[in-house]
Amino acid sequence: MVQPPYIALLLLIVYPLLVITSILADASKKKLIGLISTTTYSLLSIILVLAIVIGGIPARIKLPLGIGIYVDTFSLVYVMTSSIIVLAAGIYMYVRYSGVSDERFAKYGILSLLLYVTSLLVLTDNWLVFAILWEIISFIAYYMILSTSRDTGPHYTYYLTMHTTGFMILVGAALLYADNACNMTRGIGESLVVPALLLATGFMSKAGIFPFHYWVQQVYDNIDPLYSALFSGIVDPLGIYGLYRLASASSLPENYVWLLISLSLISMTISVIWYWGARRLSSMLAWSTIYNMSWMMLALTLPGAGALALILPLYIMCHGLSKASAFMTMGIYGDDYCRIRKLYPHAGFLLAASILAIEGAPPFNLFIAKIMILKNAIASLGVVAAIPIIGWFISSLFFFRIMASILFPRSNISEESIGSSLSFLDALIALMLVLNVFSYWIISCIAGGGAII
Amino acid sequence: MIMYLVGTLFGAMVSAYILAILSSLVLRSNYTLSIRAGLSFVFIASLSQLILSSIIVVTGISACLYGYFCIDSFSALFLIVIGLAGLSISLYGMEYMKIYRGLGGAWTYSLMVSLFLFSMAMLCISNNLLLFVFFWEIMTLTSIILIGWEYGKEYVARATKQYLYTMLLLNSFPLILGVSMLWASYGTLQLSSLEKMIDTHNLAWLLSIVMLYIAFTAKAGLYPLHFWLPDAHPAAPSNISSLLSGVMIKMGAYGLFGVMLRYLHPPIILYYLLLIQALLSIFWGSIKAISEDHAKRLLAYSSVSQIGYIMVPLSLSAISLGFNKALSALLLAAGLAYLFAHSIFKTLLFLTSGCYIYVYGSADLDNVANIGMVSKTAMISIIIGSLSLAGLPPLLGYIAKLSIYASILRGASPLYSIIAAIVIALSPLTLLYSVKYMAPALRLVEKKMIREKIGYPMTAGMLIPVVSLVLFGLYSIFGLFTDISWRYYSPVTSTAPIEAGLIHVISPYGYYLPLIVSASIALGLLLGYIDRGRDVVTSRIWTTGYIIPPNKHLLRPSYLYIEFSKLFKPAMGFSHEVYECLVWRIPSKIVYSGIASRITRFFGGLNGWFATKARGLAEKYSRIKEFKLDELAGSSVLAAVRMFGNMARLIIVSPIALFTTALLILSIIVLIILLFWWV
Repeated sequence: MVQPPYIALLLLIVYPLLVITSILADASKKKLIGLISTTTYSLLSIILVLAIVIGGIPARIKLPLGIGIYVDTFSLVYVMTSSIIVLAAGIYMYVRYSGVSDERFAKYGILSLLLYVTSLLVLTDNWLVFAILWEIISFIAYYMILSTSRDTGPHYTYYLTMHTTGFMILVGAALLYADNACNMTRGIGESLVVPALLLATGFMSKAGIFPFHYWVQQVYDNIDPLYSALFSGIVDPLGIYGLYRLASASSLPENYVWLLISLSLISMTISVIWYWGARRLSSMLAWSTIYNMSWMMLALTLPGAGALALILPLYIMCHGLSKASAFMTMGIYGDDYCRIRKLYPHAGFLLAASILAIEGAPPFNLFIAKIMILKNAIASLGVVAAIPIIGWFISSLFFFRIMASILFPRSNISEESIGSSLSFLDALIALMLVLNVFSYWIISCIAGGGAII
Repeated sequence: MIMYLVGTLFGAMVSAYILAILSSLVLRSNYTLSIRAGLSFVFIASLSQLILSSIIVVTGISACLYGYFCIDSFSALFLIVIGLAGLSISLYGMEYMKIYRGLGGAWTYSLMVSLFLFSMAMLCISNNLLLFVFFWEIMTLTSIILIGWEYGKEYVARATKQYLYTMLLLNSFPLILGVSMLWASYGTLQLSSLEKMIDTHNLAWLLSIVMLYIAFTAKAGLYPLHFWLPDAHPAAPSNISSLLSGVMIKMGAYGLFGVMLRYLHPPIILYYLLLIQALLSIFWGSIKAISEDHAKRLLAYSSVSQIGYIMVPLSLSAISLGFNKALSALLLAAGLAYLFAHSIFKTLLFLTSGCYIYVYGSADLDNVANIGMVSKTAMISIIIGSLSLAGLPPLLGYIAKLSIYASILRGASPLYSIIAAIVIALSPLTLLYSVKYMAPALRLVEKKMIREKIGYPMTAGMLIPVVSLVLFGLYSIFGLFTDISWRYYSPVTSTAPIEAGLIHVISPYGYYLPLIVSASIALGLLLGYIDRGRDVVTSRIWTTGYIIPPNKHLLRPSYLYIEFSKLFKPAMGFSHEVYECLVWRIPSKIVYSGIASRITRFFGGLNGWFATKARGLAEKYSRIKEFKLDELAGSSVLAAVRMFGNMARLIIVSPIALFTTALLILSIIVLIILLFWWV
């Protein structure tokens, strides 16, 4: 069993020191130090998760200064996924942003800080702390957009949306505090529907669920692909994590559950329709994020979802890794997917594999998560389950078209291959895809060997 | 001890597949080395698989591995089929893939071939439907990449896209939907548990069965869902084509019998439908094969026809299960025997078609010749493969086909007699296209430019099926198929053991006739061989009645059966048009390109229209400060227009308005819900 002092040492001393080091490295333009501190932090974070899993997952841990943390499979998987993505992003930054023009994109401090705050947020057991950390994450995300955006609009939209809904979360948490229900492990009674709804609205806006979906495409289209990967893999799923914590703590009346189901189905439908209007790969992936968040929310809200604590972590990990690999490939080789195989044959395969992973095709494990959600949907929703089924079919058709365009480009595209050797970053992306293939096994291990099937 | 051996061999198989992937990756900078290393491990994996499955078949034991995988005699037969094909193509591919060097991607090839074979092996032993679908989809995806290997060629790209969309629409989607419905209804996907829980009055069960049936028959390439096969199989490199035709389409048969019939208790009416589809496949595949001059397309149509031959006894076996279990087991054994035989000779024939491409750079039967001068093994392989396909003695194809006829005739009812009559009447068609395929190998009059010479790896790859066909033909192994079918039906036939094995069924037909036919064929081939040195044909050749101009007195395959083809030309032309429209023109124009591009255009246009028009309108109306008709009744309407104009402008340009709209929509939804709740 891992003793709390070790966790406290890492969470309260080592991690903050590494975050500060990476911020200072950014300020003094010492890239190598930034890389070392970020990768060390990510690796330590992965090691901590493994240590907790090997030692047995304790439900609650009390740290010094009265800080309480709550550990379950979902939070551990979240920390692990974020750490893997941040690790890959740190290496990507070091290798990719070497030129003077793109040096401004290299922000190791942001990476470390994002990972630190995210880890604290998913481990905290207090709604008020949660709300404050949430607001800090919104600031970090806002800074990420501000520093890489090509346009002035997206960060304004994001800022306004997130801080207004963040305010709702703060109000919700304050109301819970006033009712002595601030402890996240305690149930929220039916009388506290208003704070629960306020919290849910805030979480939905972060996840980009309808009607708060508008900012996603605007932001993804305008920022650097690496930051899109961070948004898609770490920041946006926080909304789903919040909803998960809310769902585990409160018992909302049935009408509100149906409201959430309806919103997830509407989001799904909208995103599937808007795939077809998207011209750029970044837009497609943005709509795909909304689409996948809708699946996750559907999984959360469906009654009888027995393996809730396992389906969602699996979904989060597979989605995060596949989006990160797709965005990183796009970042390295550009988003002209019709030409990518002719120019860089191996990159074509990587992008095609990432798209398959996003869409949930075997051997990538999103397939298992999706089929389990589908099973729950058919069992609980009956005919309404036709919406996710048809949605999956149409989105598959769309992404298979994209995959066909990548793998079998038109013969009139005559560019010769200019890059046939695998680079270090390609290997990194391939590694994330391999991890995706084994994510079911990883999560089974974290969950204590419990099989999902 | 045996279980320990089985476990070790299984581990060796999986490890070898993983090593195949890793070695090809490590050696990726060297094209030849990467392929050779990868395929060497595929060879080892196939060998382990072959030994493992042979142990299971011979001993009759069932081995369960890790709870999710079970190998019994039935699945072991499919493992043997995959293993034999894997052995051949791994040796053959080491040399054959040289001609694709320009395309690069050696490691991708090894990765895909390993995954393709691995997924097929695993799906045959999966005891859980989720794992079955998982491996099934990997098989489909890897086959897409392998079919589109020469993606730069227009026909390859077209065939691959057609395959991709067909598999999405008719295979993956129905399969996933069917499995999800079963899971939702019964709460488990363990096949052994499902078998006990199936409730035949459940609508979800019926829908699932229909979905699975569509998926499996589409993968098997049964008429009328065969349309993707004649385009997709020839598009792939020949060693892959041999895997697709020799092994992959058999997975459809595994799905229909190894999963559906065995565990899901499907309604028997489906197997009547399967029987009709099988008969139509035999007829249509044969007719189309006869009219084809392209070696690989001919073989692809032949696969459509031959899968029909496999399905006829299998479907009759399912039909007769209710009233005559011994007959049912016998028919199953005959079907499995032909499945086994077809797998071997079709693998061989596609490999020989690769020899044409390798040597002459063409698979057009009219433009290839002299294969015997390049490689005697290739010529012998073509002859052995074609004769086996035609069902001539003493090869495996003959005995397997004879067992089908004999088993069906055992049915002793009008239905069975009619089916037997149809099947026997259609079999000369197979002989016709077999001869057509074999003709260039014997045509020794035209010297062609030889591009490459066939080396030892390709020769060895072809020798494995050749030896298998001859040895299995001479030495009957049909007792094994009877055993497999008996074990397959053992839960229901435990009190009614099979009265006679296949060998007893076919023995009344004697050995003299096959011997005479074999001797005649051997004599003919010998005479042909002695006559090989003559460059000019002076005698009048048999042209099946067609008058060939004197300057074309060369035995070109396309001259054969011209009259015959003419007979079916209207029907074939009509069918071709119908299929072209149904499966390619209409879908590609309307569904794939049409609807897709229209949706894209519509939403793109809508987006643009909304952005430009609404912004224009917004600007226009928001600038109206004074309006002279204010005093009139319409002023309120104008005020509303102005307000909406302002709102539209805000929505488009202002994040505050975006957010307000979002909250407004959310509030409306909440209000509707509350209203319903209150009512």
